[in-house]
Amino acid sequence: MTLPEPSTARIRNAFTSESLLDVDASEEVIKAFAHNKEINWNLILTKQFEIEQKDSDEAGT
Amino acid sequence: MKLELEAFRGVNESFSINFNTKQNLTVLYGENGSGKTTISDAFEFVIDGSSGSLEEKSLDGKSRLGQLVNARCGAADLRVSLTIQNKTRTAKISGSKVVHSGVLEKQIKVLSRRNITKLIEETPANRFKRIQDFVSITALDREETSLNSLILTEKKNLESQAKLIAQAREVLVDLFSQYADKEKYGDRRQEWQQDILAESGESIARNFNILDDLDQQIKRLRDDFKRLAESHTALAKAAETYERETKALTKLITEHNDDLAKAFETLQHAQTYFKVSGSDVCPVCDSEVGHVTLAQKVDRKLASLKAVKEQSQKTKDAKDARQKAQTSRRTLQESFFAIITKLKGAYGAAAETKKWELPDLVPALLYADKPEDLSEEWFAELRAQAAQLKPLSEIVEREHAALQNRRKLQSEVQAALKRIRNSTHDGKRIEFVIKRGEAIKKVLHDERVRHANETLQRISGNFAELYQAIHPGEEIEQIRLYLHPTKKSSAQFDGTLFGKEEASPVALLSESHLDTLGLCLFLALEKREDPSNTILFLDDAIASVDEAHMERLYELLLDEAAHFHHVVISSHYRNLRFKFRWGLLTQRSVEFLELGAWSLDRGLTLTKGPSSEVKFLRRYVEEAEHPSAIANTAGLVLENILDFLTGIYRCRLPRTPGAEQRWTLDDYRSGLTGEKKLLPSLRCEHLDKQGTVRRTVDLEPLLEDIFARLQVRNAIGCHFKELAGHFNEISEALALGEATLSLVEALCDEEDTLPDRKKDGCSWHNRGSIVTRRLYPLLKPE
Repeated sequence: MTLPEPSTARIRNAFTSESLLDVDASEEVIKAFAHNKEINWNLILTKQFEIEQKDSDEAGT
Repeated sequence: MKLELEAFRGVNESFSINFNTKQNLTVLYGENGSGKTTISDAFEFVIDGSSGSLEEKSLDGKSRLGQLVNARCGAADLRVSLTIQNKTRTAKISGSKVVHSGVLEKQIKVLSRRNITKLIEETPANRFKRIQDFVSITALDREETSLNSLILTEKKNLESQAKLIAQAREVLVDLFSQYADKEKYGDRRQEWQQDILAESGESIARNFNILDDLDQQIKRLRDDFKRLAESHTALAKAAETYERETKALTKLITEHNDDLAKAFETLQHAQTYFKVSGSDVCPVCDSEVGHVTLAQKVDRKLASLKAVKEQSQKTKDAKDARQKAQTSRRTLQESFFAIITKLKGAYGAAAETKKWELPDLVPALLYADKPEDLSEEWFAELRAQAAQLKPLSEIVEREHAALQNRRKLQSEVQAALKRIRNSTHDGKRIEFVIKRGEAIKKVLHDERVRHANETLQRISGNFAELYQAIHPGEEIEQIRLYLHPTKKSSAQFDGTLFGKEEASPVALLSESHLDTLGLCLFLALEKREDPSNTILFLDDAIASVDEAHMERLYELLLDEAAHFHHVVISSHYRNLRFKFRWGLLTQRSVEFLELGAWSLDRGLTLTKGPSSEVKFLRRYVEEAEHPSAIANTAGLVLENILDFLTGIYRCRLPRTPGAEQRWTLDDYRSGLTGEKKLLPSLRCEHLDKQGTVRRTVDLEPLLEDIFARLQVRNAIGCHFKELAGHFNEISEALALGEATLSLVEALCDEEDTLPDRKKDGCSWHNRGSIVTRRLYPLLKPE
């Protein structure tokens, strides 16, 4: 069974409202669910870390 | 929908069964051992390739597929085909595999008696396994597991990074304790580190290279000194030898003051001449001479000349040697001068840095401006000053080693700090991945549980409705299936039963109640997934349902069957069969099929129509034990016969506008007796195989006898019990049964089938090539 639409919407909402993933990463994950493809969480989370690190560095400078 | 079996289980040759899918439901009745499960197994075999009911049985290691083959046939003979709407799928066995051809977009779900309560009585984990296809979202499960695995791995990596950082810090502590100037730094390791790192690596490398160069040149100076020094000696020696040989040659030449060297060749020829010829005459002046004496004089002259020649050669060789020694010395001078030049350069570069207090270079090195200056005297001078080079050499070596250590130390400190820095950064990344991963995992977990529980709630609602339809008012509320809140893959099943909350149905309900609960749960689950393409087969799954609940269950199944492609209920429950045939259970949208007794020779058989009822009637009459069974069955047989007679003779029967027409025996009786001329004219001829009439039987007396006994059937065989007490049940039932059998014997052929053909144009006759019954008249007399 693929992810039903209500579940997709709730997961997307949770990612963005709780600032767990940025928009692009969130959509990448949702798309992977839609196509039942495996997600490379290490890559997703590392990218998210670098984005937040960069934002933090820019904020600090 | 047609199912065809060959050499499959109890089918030795071939067997086919048609299911009328225009009816939503088929009731497949058969006594135990008649082949009901064989048919459900055949469905599973042709659709899924499974061995059906054998899947969950231990066969003591024997091949399940092998056991599907009929005992009298080979595996190659086995074939099962299912045809739905002109599309056929076939299954055969090839080796140890099932080979399918054709595609049907249908799935089969079988609920057997054995499995009906499994879903309810199993452990939560096993229960979850059975329902997970309905409630699980594979992608969520997979990604939740994947995240969990990543988090565990990263936690281990975090520990490794912490260890790396600790190790690197230990290295810094060790380096500090080993190399730091304690007087200067005390415990201030950070300050020492900063100082180590303050000096630029390039600067250290540059100074290291300068000292390295200076060190190399000093070593080369030292190594090549001896060679050059020795070259002077070698040259002196060569010069001396040359001088000596020259003197010797000069002396030899002066002793021989004529051009004897020039005559040398002539004398050689003369020597040869004197040896060859024996003449005593001088070849020049023809005087007689003693050639021996002459020859001896020539030999002596040649010998003296040879000495000159040899000495001349020696002198030449000595000269060459001297030349060579000069060249070698020259080369060494140039080489050594190059070393001195480089040494001066390296020394200058080192002095320029002002980092070291270097002693001056020795004077000899300083005033050597060209290779030629490096004479023997110069070497003697250098040798005398050599000791002054030692301090320079020592300082250079010491500082060189110190720089080497410093460079290594700086490299190690940098490496350790880099490890700490990288590990710290990576540690931050890992901590982020762990924390964020946990948060995302929770989102996925919550969604998985929510989705599953919502689905289960809908399923629970549905099966609770189904259950209530069978057991209304039994104080069973909110039976639900739901995921355990904390344990993964665990499905709980409980409800409010008889006022007790969170009660387990397994503990409080009877076996039959659990059966219907299991059945309702099965139906609710199967309705979730593409029911329109699902064939349900309930294989003796309602055996434990008592009569009180049977009708409700039957009506429920009939309603639910409309959701599926087709539903087949197999049963050996005789009451179901009777109720169906009585019309107490609706015949609307239901097909009734009956399997005959199985035998090794005939295999599975289908029976239909009154012939089967007749066989039962004969048996019940013979047994003479159950008056209601006799009366029931007699009634069924009579219904068929009277329906046939009133049909072919177009008798008037009461009509109920707008409703399905169902007539009672009394209606049929009225219809027949209402046709005044018909009854007396009814007769049936019995013919032998040759077509000769053996007897003629009037049917009127048989029918009148039966009509008179219809009250018995109603009282004993029907659900009206008010009159039952007025009859001697068994004898009255037997009388009705025997009267009915007499009518059957009079009217039906050897196969107990009615004469429903009229091909000869003058009578009704039985089917088949041999006519043994002729019913007259053909038409109702007017």
